[in-house]
Amino acid sequence: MISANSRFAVRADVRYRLIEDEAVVVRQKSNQVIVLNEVSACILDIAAKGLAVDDMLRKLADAYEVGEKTLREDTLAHLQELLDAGIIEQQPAESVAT
Amino acid sequence: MEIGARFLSNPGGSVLPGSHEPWGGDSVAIDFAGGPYLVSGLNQTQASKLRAHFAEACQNPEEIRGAASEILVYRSHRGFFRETLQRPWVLDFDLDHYPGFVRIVGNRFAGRIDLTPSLSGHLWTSDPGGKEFPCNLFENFFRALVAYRLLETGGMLVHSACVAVGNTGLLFPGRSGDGKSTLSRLALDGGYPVLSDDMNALSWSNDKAVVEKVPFAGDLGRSWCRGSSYALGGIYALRKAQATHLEPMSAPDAVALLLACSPFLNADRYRLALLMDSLYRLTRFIPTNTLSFTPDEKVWPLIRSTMPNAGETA
Repeated sequence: MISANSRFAVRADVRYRLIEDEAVVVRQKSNQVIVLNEVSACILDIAAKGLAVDDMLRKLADAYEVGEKTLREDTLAHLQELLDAGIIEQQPAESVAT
Repeated sequence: MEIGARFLSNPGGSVLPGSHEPWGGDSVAIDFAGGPYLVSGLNQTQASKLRAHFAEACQNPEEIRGAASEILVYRSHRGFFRETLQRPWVLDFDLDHYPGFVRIVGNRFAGRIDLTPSLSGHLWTSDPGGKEFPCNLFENFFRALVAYRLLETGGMLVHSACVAVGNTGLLFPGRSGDGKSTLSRLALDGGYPVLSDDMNALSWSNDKAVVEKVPFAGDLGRSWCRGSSYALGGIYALRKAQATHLEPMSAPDAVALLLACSPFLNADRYRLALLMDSLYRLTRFIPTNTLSFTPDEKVWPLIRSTMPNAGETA
């Protein structure tokens, strides 16, 4: 379950590089290479910095001119897809306490 | 599973034999992309097998001006490797990666590729020079070493077909089943030479990307000849389709394609960033397209029509 305080990290076997606003992602364990579109690439790059979801949304609001509700819904959907694809993982609660 | 568990008699023990006893005093120099490569520590039979296998790519070791990298071949006792593996031999091995070196273990061989201070290889085998030695044993290790050597120079080894059109090489990266061999046969039918339908080397020469044939086996056989180097003119992703057409491919898609087709390196977490940088550099200089094709005579005229100087004969 993704909450406002959820934080994420790129999985240990995943490497990515931003190229022309998109992201080339390598999942080394499964020898998969995938390309993320601009929005997913941006969300991945911000999630990789370890920000909480609410902080991510503030950053994304600067980059995309969409309403707050749409931004939140779309961001959570993208994060869930990145989780499902095995690209990122949710950090355990104890490691996100500040 | 531990590296080499399938290939070693004692998987929990040492991955590399401890001894550094060479098989003999013979050497072979193999010179192509990223080379010359000097292979030492061979007995006469092993050396003779390698000379026959790499044929025209071989040079007299005394005539090369310094090797780009050296491979030392050591003897290991027969019991070190499992001897009960089923044949036929296949390209099958384990790799593991470290910041300064890479280990590779396969059928009756284990090796280490040192990446610092300079690239060199150490290969242990129990094979005194049997028929599998050059292709299924040495070449498995050698391919990995060449991949790392090319990366060192900004290039890469790519699973691909490459077709020569005049002085230009067109690269068709792809995994098995993507259509490389089909496209290569169409090229041969159209009078265009095929460098390889399996693997080619990309490198840089005077800031220009070049593609070079490598003396490794492919479906169309292995017929390396000196001077098989061409200016790289285009990179094409292959898609089997009902109709033939070309469309531009984005840089991220091209990098992803080349990454998927960069053997050995795309699994190396320590070198992946460097590989991605090299691939991106390549896509900024070379046109990249997706070729959707059905295997007929229309394919090559379409490709030719997109090339500068399309009127030149093959």
